Amino acid sequence: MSTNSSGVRLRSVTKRFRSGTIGIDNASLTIEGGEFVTFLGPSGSGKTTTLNTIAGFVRPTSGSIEIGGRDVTKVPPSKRNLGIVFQNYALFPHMSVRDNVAFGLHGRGLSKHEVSKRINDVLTMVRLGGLEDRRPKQLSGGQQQRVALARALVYQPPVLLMDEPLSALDKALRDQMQVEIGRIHREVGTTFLFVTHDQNEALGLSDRIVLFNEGRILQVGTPSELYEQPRSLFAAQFLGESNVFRGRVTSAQTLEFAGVPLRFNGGAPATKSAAIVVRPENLLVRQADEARPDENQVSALITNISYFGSFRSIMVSYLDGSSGQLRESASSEARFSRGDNVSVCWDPGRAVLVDDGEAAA
Amino acid sequence: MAATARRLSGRSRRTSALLLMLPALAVVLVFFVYPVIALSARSFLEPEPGVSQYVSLFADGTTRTILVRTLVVAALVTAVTLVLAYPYAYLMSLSGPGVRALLLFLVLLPFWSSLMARTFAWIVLLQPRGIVATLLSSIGLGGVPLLGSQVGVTIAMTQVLLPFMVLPLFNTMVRIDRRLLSAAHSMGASKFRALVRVFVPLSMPGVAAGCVIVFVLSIGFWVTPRLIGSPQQSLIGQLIETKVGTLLDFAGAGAISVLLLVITAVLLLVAGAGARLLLGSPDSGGRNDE
Repeated sequence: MSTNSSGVRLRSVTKRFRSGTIGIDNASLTIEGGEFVTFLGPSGSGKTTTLNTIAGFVRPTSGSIEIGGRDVTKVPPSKRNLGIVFQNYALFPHMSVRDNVAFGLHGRGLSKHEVSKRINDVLTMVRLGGLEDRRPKQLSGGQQQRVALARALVYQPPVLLMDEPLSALDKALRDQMQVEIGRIHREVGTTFLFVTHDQNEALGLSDRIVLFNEGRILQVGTPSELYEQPRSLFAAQFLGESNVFRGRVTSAQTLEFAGVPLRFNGGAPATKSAAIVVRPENLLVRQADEARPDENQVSALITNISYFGSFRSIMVSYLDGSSGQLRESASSEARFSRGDNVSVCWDPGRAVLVDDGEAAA
Repeated sequence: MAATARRLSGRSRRTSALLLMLPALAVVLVFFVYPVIALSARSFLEPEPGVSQYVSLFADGTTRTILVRTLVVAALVTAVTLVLAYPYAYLMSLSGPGVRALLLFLVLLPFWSSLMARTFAWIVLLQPRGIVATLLSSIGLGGVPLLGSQVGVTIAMTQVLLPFMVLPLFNTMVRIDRRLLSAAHSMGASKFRALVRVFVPLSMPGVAAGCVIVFVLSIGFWVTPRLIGSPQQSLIGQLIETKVGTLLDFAGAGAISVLLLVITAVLLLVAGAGARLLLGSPDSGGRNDE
């Protein structure tokens, strides 16, 4: 497969539906050619609407969309030359696998020989060789998924859009297809835009993640940027597990949480009300009297301990009644048990300060 | 409860189901199955056992002419209703709930008046200087005899049978996943190509169902051709009526009826096979798991 990829650019795209609800709120985004970008967010967050405006199925109320440097805001879907994998595949039930794949090659000025070569190549790439004459109904869910991919890739579109393509598959198949999609992206080199509400798919597949909530783009970054430096409470809680210490900022470097001063790195936030977010793997449990001066520490009550083979997950309850969790390697001996009063500690450099979402809203 | 359900399972459940169906079954047996069998039997037994009725049926030039005329009129009515109903049903399948209800109401309106009343209404409309004649002459098709002609019969039958074409078409079209059309557009297909390659093939089961229903009803039509057509242009239903009512030739009428039944059965089989061929049998091959 030849490399053929285009960037995508959204400029202040807004979509207001006839009902008055806002589907997309002033979204601007630049995607480079060849990138694998995931649109991540809960349902109703605007990620699918944004994908549909790129596809051309939804006309934005204002703003513009460029694909490969060309303004396509008013171009119909049939003239955008995009590959699209629909959520439930939308395979043509009355056509064989071969005819489904051949559909998009019509009218592209290809010779018969070239058409059949392209079909064979793409079916080999998605590992469906030998099933050309089957009808979609005669295929398993995973095979239908591969036909949908082959059909969207066969005419070598510069951008491939995928709308929750794995949501209809069971867990084992989903993991397998996730690996396959990553491999196909590397082979084809096309720009992939992938919509999902599953954080693991987003973390595992993407070059960059675009995090959506309530029609807005909250944060754009690599998976590790989003995980390690969430810029909002929503981002911290949507991706991965978090321990959240809400409080008032009392100085440029301290936040008061339930009467306990906690230090944080980086500048003071814009709002007085903020939260310190710490990932479970960055927390340590110590005896209540085992404090160290260079660490933040908060008293906690252990409410549960679960053993997962390589690690123990410890659930705790903090002073303000909120709950949290942390991880401890199972290779060390268990020192605590349920009901113990302990100190939960962390290095201030391994935590992030974010605006308190509720206060900001 | 659970015990009762268990006791009702298997054989006894089937028996009670059969008991509930008995009244309807009796009506069908006495008023439909018996007459059909009796009439068919007479067609083979009179005047002497054998197929002489059928031989004379095909030997008789008049019967043959009427049979061919009936099939031609039925085919014409089917074609015209299909052409009229397809865009109508398409519009219905695209509309929102309000417009759809209105369109459905308009289609069903004829069902709420009797066939007889509608046929008499057509007699008025098809008068030599009536509304239809005036309309036709205004578009340069004046001078076509309507009343007492095949044209008038076709017009009236088309109106009566239109709902039987619209409803199966709509029923099929409304189930077609619109995302398939979006998918076709996304792959570069024009609106026309998406319609022809995706929508029309997927609507074929409805087309087949509508055509079979309209065609079968058409070949059995009696009231409309009797009142609007002319005796010189009679259709097969009128022939049966003449044989039974005037000539008391029950065996001959039976032979024609059997022929109509056979035509209907063949049509149903062909349409069923065609639909299976197009969409693939739901249980052929089976799912292939990875």
